[in-house]
Amino acid sequence: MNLFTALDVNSSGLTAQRKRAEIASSNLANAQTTRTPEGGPYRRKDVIFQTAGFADSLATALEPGVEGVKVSDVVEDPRPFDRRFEPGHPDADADGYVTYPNVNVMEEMASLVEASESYQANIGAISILKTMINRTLDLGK
Amino acid sequence: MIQPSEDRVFRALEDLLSWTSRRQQALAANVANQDTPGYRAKDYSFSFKEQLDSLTMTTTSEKHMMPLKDTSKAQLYEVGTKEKPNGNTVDLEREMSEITKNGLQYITLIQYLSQKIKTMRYAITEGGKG
Repeated sequence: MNLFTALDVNSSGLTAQRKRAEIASSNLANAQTTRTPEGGPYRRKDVIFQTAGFADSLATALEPGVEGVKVSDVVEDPRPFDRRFEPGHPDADADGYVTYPNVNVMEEMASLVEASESYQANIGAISILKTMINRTLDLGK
Repeated sequence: MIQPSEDRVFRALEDLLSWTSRRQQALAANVANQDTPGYRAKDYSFSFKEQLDSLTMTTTSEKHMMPLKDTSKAQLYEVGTKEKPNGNTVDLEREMSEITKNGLQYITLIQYLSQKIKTMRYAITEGGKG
């Protein structure tokens, strides 16, 4: 049914935005992490959004040209690390510099706010859809 | 007896309902893809008002049937909203207001259809005696 498919499209938006918020949170939490299993400081991560159809049986119900969304990839930010002069730090190099992650806290906060707003827009669309479906179920009563 | 025009109204309502729910899909996709780089906002080129007008218009003769447009032929088109730096053209405010409008149109149709069914049931039960 068309309305249920629209529901799936919006829920794909919810999933994608939640993943984005998760990655931004992870970046924020690791803004000062100088040690990782791979060695070196934490590298900032970013999500890539991509339009997506549905692979399951719902694909037939999806109108041509209408697509959901998915996080197709999580990529590492190639920007250089932040170097700070802290000779007392155990991870300081010979010159007294510590390499910190390339995370900009302001950038992550902005990304979190954006993800949250996009999430809410999808929730808003879903609640309208719910009203539509409920009214349909009451038809003829 | 059900008039042929009544039957036509039922069919037209069904058609409009199906179209409105299809449109909701396109609008849902726009909201879901509001942050997808390069995504172009889409909508159906079809006027709800026009269709409803031709449906509810009073006809004085059976020959005065207003032709209803075939909603299944409604085409997806790219909404000409401003492009963001990442090539995305979704205007969230427009989409949310269209979704609300479309939802209300759907409910209006359901209400209308519901009333038609009630009237018919009233007739079937001999005006409430049965």
